[in-house]
Amino acid sequence: MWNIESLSVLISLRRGGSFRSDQLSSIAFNFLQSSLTLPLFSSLRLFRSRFHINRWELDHYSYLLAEKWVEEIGLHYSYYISHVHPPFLRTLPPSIIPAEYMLTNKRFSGDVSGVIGETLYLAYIEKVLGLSASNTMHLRFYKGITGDPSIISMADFYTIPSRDLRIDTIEVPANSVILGEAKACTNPDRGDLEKRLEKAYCQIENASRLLSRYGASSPLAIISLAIRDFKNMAYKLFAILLEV
Amino acid sequence: MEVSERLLSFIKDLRKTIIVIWAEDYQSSYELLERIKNRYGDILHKVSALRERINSIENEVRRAVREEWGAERILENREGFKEEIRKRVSKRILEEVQYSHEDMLAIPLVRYIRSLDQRVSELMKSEFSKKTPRRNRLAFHHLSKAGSRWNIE
Repeated sequence: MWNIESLSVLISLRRGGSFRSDQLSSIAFNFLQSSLTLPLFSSLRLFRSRFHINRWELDHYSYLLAEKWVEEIGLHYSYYISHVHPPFLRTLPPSIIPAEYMLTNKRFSGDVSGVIGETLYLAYIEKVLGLSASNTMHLRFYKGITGDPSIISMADFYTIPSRDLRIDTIEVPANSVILGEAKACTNPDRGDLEKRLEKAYCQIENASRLLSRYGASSPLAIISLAIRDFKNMAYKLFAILLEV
Repeated sequence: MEVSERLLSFIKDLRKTIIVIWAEDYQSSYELLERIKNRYGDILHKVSALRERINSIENEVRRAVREEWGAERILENREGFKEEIRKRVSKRILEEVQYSHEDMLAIPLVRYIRSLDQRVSELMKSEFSKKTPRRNRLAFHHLSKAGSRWNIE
């Protein structure tokens, strides 16, 4: 059983808020360093929470993803946080062991870090926000259609809540579409976090534009960033809840 | 932006199939896939056409940008090349294609069905499947709420 600390930041674009990746990456980095301080005059609303996850749950969320059929992601997770190399890497001399390894027993696609990010995203929306991971699907209009890896600019997921949801001042009616983008960072530094957040925001924007051509837009978009806390042998989850 | 009950039920049926495939009950998953194809045939037909259209736009745009930019410029700025394709594809979809947001949401479902169908058919045909038929039947409990509980009978 692992504890996942999460920090959620609420931003209402509808009420004049803006997505500032520099500010957000700084908050994420401070959260990782356990020295969370808000920038002066910040109007951001932050919520801390903690949830538990075990190996079997990680496997379960990984299965639910469907597109990335990765076996034993719970086991890979434990290798990642405990700095233990999996058996197939133990025979190699330390000088050539990679910091991150690619999956050998994947079925479709994906690397370990990305899948950990996606499984933690699903755990977060279910355990913290009360949404159902079963009502979540991958959302990629392009990728996979032609198999061209250049066309990856959509949000990862969409979730349809089965009941009305209220998060602070954000109200999400039942059966509406919540967009989600999950990222993971194995060796985080401030610049890397900022780059990932920017990319995630761009993906959310693209998906939102294509979905809302007739005026109806998603009320909520979620960007999650699973950050490996190397020192404490854990993962932390930084989430941005965007009212769009 | 709300979705219909029908799309929701489509998603749930697909989830069930995915879990049955994970349980290696290929015969049941084949049957479930066939049922989904019959039940949601209209959506599948409509969305497949939309998927084809987006596919052809994507190919046209890639070809055009490749010719415009030339190999050297693409090599120098690979990210810029990708971004240019994304922008143009998105613009052309908005200008030229008629669709509803639900059609767009159903595209990934169609993609899943095709890949699952292919996988299940291969497993059904394989020698391994013939020699050791797997019938681990699953009983589904309310998947929509918790999404994480099922029991093997």
